[in-house]
Amino acid sequence: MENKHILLVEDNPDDVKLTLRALKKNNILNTVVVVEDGVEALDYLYGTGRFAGRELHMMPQLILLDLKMPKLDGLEVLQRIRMDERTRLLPVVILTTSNEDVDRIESYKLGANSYIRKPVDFNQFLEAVQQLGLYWLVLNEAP
Amino acid sequence: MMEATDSRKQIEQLQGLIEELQSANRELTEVNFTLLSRVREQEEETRHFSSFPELNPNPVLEVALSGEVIFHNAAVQRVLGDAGLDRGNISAFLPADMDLILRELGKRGEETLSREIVLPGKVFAATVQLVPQFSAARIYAYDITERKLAEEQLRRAHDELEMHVRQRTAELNKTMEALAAEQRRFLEVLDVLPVYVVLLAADYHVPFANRFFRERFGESRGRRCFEYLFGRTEPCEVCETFKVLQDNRPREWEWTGPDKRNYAIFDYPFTDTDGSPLILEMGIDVTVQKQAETELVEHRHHLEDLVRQRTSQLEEANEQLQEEIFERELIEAALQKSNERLALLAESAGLLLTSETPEGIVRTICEKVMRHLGCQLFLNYLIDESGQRMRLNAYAGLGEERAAEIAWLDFDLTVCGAVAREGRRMVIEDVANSTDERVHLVRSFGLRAYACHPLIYQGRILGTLSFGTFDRSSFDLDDLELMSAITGQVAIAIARKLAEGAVRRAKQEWERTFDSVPDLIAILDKEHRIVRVNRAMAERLGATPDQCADLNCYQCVHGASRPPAFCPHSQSLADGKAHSVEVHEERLGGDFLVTTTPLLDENREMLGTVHVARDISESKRNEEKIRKLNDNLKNTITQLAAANRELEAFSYSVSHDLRAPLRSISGFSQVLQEDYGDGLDEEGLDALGRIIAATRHMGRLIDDLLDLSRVSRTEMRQERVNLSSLARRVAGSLVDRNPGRHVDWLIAADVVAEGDEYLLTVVLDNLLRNSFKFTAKQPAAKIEFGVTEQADGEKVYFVKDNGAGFDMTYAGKLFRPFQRLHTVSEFPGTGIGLATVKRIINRHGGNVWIEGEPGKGAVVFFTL
Repeated sequence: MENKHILLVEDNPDDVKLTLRALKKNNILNTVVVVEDGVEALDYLYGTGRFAGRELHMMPQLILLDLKMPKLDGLEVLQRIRMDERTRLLPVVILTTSNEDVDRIESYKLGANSYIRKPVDFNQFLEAVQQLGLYWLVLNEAP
Repeated sequence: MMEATDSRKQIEQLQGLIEELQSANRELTEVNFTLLSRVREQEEETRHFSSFPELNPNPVLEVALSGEVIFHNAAVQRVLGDAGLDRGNISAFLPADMDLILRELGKRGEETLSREIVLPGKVFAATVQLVPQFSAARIYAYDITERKLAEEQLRRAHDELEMHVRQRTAELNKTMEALAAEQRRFLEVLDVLPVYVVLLAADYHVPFANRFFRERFGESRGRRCFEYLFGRTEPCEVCETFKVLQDNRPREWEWTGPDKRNYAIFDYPFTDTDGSPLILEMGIDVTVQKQAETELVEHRHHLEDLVRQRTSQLEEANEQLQEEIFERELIEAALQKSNERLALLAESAGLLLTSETPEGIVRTICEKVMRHLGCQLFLNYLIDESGQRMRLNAYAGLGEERAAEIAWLDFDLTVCGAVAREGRRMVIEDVANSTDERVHLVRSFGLRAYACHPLIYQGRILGTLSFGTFDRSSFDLDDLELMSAITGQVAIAIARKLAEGAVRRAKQEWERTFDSVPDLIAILDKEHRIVRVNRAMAERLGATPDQCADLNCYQCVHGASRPPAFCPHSQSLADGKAHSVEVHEERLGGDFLVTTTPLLDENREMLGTVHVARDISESKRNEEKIRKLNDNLKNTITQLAAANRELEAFSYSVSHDLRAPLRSISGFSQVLQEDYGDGLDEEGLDALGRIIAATRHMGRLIDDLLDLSRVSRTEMRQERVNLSSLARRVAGSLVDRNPGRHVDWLIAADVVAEGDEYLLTVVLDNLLRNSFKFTAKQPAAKIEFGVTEQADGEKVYFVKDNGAGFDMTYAGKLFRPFQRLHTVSEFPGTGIGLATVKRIINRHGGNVWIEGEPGKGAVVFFTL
């Protein structure tokens, strides 16, 4: 597995599919690891549960994190990521339907790097994903 | 003087007694002396025989130096008799100092000593002879018992006599002192008497004169009375005094003394202590009485003279008086008439002033006056309330029919009318020949003289009073004066009647007002008694106003035995101020606002209070209703707010959750279009395109709805917001996004408002975006933002454009969500923008409204 992979945390399969399509359409060819809820996301990041034994030195270059999820929601996941030394510096982009100030402000407080509202119009979504990929995967220098 | 004589006799008797006693004493002393000398002789004899001890009938004893009786004769034995001759008894014969005598024996040589020896019932005189050669003493004793007894008797008799003499002397002295004191008192009494008292002797000497006499006439110093009183050598011829001595009877006479004063003299025969005749004379100074008497006599003479003179004068005057009386009778007749008039006036004044109905009494009085004046008619007119005519109030000398004809008079064309109008009296004499037109009525009665006076009270003309006569053609001055006077009285009485009427009317008006007030009014005195209540109060108490008077307010209103704690009347009585309290009283059937106001008399003393109770039951009930309604309303509001919040939350989550499937529809439609568009015919592609467009529109709707709900949910801050710069920013972004459009922006500078910057941005964004949208088809688009001021100074902000405009009929719809006046194809939009604006403006407490005209543009106004 390539080092520069993306972790997509999204419970809605439609959104997973559309996101993957948008990435592909924008020629972002990085590997995308998809997990369906917050618990799985943490399992992946720390090599537990289903992902026990995963090589932990291979951390995703970008985490796309949905907020509204069963079991463990996105804000909790973000909090855990920022508390753990191993994942503290990973770029996390919140990708959500919510347009609530509370969510946005809370996300930034907890250390989200970006906050993107998923537009209804797929074309707009494509645009957003394109810029996202361009910035975080190409322009941004990791610490 | 009798007492003095008695005392003197007593003294003489006493003195005689003393002398008798003294001579008896002398005799007794002599007897004793003889007796004593005889006893002594016997003693001598006895002593002579004592030298013969044995034979000696008197006791003889010899005593040795040792004190032992070595010899005693038979006499000793005889004397001692039955007592025996033992040693002890014999030693009774020895002198008490025998031991001493024996011890001295050697030293003295032959010598005799005398001693007395006392034995029971006997006394012996003992001669102790010392006999040195025999170392013994011889005692010769002889009995002196009898002598001793005689001496003792003599001494006792003498003592008794002396005591007797002392007692008698003391009594005598006491009597003498009393006598002297009495004499002194007597003389003092004589000295202080305000009359003189003298004793005159037959030889004209003056043995006694009291102080009064001495002070007036000096001391006689042995001279005879006529010598020292009058300096005469012979007794006075006028003197009556000494005649007393001739017949021994008292005399009274008057005497003029050498001091030229008059004395009333009283002479009494008097016998001196020595029995010689004296005259006791007493003189009282009667000079003043004498003078007064003389003056009295003179006065009487003078008065008698005067009486004689007056009598003659009176006789003259009497004659004159007889003449004057005749004249006076004439005057009195005139006076009588005048008096009658005065009496008439006084009577009428009294009647008019005291009568309850002075109007009615006018007739009685005027009839009397009429008769007195010798008139046959009187008319009394009063001006009626209109002031335009007069009514016949009282009359006499007319038939009823005739009176009815002239019951009302106009001011013109009659004498009475003229008088009433001008306020001046008119006297018509010789009526038959008068040329005055106004006299025709008077003439028609057949009167010959007629006088009419105006009734005037305090400058106000009330009517007229007139008198007429058939007998003579004129009135004299007295007649007119009487008429004038009676007119004045009647005027006062009528005025009083009118004033009383006014007062009564005012009272009635006040009472009517008092009774028609719907409030419950009671006038209370200081003892909580009801003075008066109005009808409303009485009705509530189920009584008439009269029945309520004098009742206790707390008893009859509250059914209590004392004023209740809240009683405002008590408070007003205590502090003299008005008090109000709300009271619920079942007995009066409701709630009342009770106000007590102090009632003061003219001296500002409190009489009680006016107690006004206003029934506020209705307003209380209303208040209660309003309160309940308010509570309900508050509940409703609370419920509504809760429902609203739920609704907001619901609409939010719905909108939110709707987006995800929509995104799927939109996304996969796009996938279909892109990946499988080639396999679809034109109709299929069109359908797909419509799905995509619809999802896009729905996405916008959802976003707008979320905005709208967020407007209501976000917390508002109040801050100073520069609306001008907000507007410019919005315009700038619109221009950036639509580079093909040309719009003339007119944005007023420095428009500032208080509000929430975020929400106001939403407002301007919506409004300017709307204008931008609706001017899309306008080649010379113009959008304006500014502010004006209303008449009341409130700022009105506006956004104005010259776009499509709208029909004002639908202006009200524009601010409701989803309401649009244009199709989406004409102008795209969701119909939520203005609803959001309205909600924000309302949250700021402002108003928003819109004006427009199709094809000419629209203006949205708002206040904050």
